Amino acid sequence: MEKKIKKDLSSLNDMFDFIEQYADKNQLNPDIRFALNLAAEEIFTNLVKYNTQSRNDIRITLQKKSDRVILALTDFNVEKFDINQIKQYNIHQPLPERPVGKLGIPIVKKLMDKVEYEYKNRNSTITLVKYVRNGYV
Amino acid sequence: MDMFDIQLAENKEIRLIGKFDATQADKAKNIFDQIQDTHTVNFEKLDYISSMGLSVLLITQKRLLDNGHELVLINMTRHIREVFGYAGFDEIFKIVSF
Repeated sequence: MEKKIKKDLSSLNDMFDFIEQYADKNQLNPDIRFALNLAAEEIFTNLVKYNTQSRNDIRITLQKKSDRVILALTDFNVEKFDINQIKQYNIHQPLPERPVGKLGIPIVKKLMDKVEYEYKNRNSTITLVKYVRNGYV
Repeated sequence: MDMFDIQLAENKEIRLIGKFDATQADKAKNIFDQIQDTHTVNFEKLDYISSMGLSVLLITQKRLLDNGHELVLINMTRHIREVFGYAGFDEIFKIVSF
């Protein structure tokens, strides 16, 4: 299943609706639903904030294989921005030294089992994989 | 999931309700900016929070702690408690379960 979403924060609800429709259709459990919503929001808001060179729609795709759910977001005609190369956020820093922001990607990496980045023909694709435990989705 | 709402109650309690996503950060910040001393934040009716919501709490906690006050977080659901753990926020906030 796929959908194109306007690259603007105001489109966040369109993305959530798409994920919920997919989750209903595939009877995904609340843990997977929560993870997909949160991971998709974090990646989407990053693309809106940092990949500002183009205002093309972002494509979101969801697919389920026997042991995993795969979520991918593609941002078209942009510079390379590999989220796996971002400096690691230190979650143990004391409060005064904690930077505000930069939490999205570390949360995605904890939520999902695999985070992959591909840059091809000026298009960035971030693919997130969540394994299904004990066959229960 | 429900729409987001935030309520500042008279007993120094802030109640978060529904889905706290990036589009709601300004609405929440307007409330958190009003408080000047220790408050409880009740998560009982909150279903969802993303990093933008965490940032609002972080900014407030930094400001309050400079004056010897803090936010005390109560009644989190399991999903939200896990997000706080992923961000290491369980090390910088007092999180209380009843």
